[in-house]
Amino acid sequence: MQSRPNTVLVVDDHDAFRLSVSRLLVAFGYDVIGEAADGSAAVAAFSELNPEIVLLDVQLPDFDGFEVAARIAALEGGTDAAIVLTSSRDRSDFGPLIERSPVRGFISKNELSEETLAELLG
Amino acid sequence: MKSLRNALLFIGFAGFAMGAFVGAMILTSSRDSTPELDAAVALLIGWAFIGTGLFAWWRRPLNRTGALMTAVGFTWFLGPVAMADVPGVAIVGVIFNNLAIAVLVQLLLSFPGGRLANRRSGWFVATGYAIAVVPQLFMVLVTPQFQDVFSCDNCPRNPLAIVDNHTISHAIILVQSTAALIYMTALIVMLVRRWQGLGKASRAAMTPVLVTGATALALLGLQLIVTNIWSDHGKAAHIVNLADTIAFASIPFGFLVGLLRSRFSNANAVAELVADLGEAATREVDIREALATALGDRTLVFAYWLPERGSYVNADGAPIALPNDGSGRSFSLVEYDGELIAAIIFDSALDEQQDLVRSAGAAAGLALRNQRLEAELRANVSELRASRARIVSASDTARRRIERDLHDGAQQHLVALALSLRVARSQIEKDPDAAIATIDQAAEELSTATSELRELARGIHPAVLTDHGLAAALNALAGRSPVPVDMTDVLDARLCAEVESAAYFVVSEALTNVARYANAELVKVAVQRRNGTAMVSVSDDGVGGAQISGGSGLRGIEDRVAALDGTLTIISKPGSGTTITAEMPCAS
Repeated sequence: MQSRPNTVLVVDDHDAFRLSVSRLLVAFGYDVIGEAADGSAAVAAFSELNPEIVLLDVQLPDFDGFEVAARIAALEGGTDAAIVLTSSRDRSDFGPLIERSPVRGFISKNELSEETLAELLG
Repeated sequence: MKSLRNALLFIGFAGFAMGAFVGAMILTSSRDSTPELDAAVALLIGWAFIGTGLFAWWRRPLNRTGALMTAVGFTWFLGPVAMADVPGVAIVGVIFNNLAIAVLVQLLLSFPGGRLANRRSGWFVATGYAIAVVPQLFMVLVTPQFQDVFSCDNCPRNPLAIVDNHTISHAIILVQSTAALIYMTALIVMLVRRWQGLGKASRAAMTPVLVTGATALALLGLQLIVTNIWSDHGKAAHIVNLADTIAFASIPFGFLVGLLRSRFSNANAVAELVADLGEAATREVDIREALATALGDRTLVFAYWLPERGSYVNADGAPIALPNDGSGRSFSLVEYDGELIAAIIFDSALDEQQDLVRSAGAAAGLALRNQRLEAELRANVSELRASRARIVSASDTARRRIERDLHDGAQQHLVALALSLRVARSQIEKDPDAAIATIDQAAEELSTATSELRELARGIHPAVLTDHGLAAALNALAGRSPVPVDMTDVLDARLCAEVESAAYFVVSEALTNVARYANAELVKVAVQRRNGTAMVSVSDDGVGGAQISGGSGLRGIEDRVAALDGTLTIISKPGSGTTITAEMPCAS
């Protein structure tokens, strides 16, 4: 259990989703240490909090999740974190963008569960 | 008219008196070897300009050509005054010796209207005056005797001279002569170009003026080269001088012929135009070309009046504005059977010939009325094209908005709901109370999602409109409006589906605008059907000042109404409320 990454930064511009997903993560035993509602706040929160996991929505008001992932990866320790992209759209809507991005993987919001997360974070 | 004649008689008398004075100065000059001949030539030229000028002035009082010709005559007399033995009088002659040539330049460039075409010509003429007078002023300061100017041995003393310096005075003459040569070359090029741009009729008037004027200027240039640059004062200089004098003397008669011709040829031009247009029934005649030729203005264009739009369009149907005063363009309105058909827009140089433009316009009235139909058709086609493009783009925008609304609204709430249910499932055994709270949260998200979907569906197409008709749908709209709505004049009958739908969105958009901007106390919605036309109006008592171009909302509504062959009008004076009215054909 101890070896599993545990601290999470939740990035999403919808308050209702952030609230629900934080509750879900806590229920699954994760530690939600921060939340951000847009891309620049996400990058700032990452350098301050150094979370082990970033649950990152693709569509954000300032710049999108792919850009956020690239900026985080460029930060010190950025490549150690597991970035999990998420969206209410399907993986196929983004074509090859997910493969090219420095992220651990993608889980659509519909499929977000204890099992899918655990599988991805291994 | 009588006062004009008296004034002209007075000017004529003054011209005669000035000529007599100048003649006396020359005849009594102790320096002139041929005083009788010189006096005769000076008087012939001066009086010829004044006489023909006054005649032209009298015949065409609004045209400034006559006044300018008279001015050339008067200024011409200033030159020979330099021959006077009295130094104070002679010096006036020296300073203004070349003034008449500068006035002549102005006359040539403003013929036949008597007014310069534009600001550039104005600057060109002003430069001419400067070259003619400024160097003379400097010269009198450095020349104690007048030898440099007249090459005489017993010249009078110059009272204004401050230095005696031959090098400077020679340099001044050289600079002035060179400047004058360049200037006159430019002038001749300008005149020839103008002549080439004129129609047949105007060319006939311009030719005698151009031939005599340009010849005199060219000979004057030659004289400058021979006398001032080559410093030849022998036989060659005399021959050139004589030729130039003869050419100069013929100028006023050239102008007179030109003016008379322009009168006659104008009448011919209209007669030819009428004949041309008469043939329009059997073959296609370019009316613009015919009028441009008749009036000698290549830049002439028509602006067709479209009464339904209350605006002018050009032949391609594009909007066109009538020229303002001082823009260098003028216009004349063309009516046919008492109905405004078009405006002819032409060069302001033709202002003096407004009568001619009007009669040409009258001759072309019928043909222009037919062409207006084509222009209107083109305007409608281009308007149609624009509105079609707007409808396509509005539909794209609407789809993008629906996608965004669904994604940001209902979908997010449903996703959150699914997550909450998963949380509840994991809580249900360990912590049933927490599970209940989470399920309550989920139920709330579900109800938010359904109400957002409902709003969205209503925006796409309200079901109550399809099922229960316009009156019911408008009542529902009124019920949601924050400003009270008076619905007493809403017709309670089914109309054709497209009209009901358009009417609904007219009212919906209007009520949204009232709530957002109007600051109104009451809105009145009316729907009526009369003679196969459905009329929908929304009036408020708010601040007014609404415009179709103000926001894309009203533009989209206008396109929707126009697509049904209807019209949308907005009356919205600032401070007195807004009334939006849509009228659409609607068979019952």
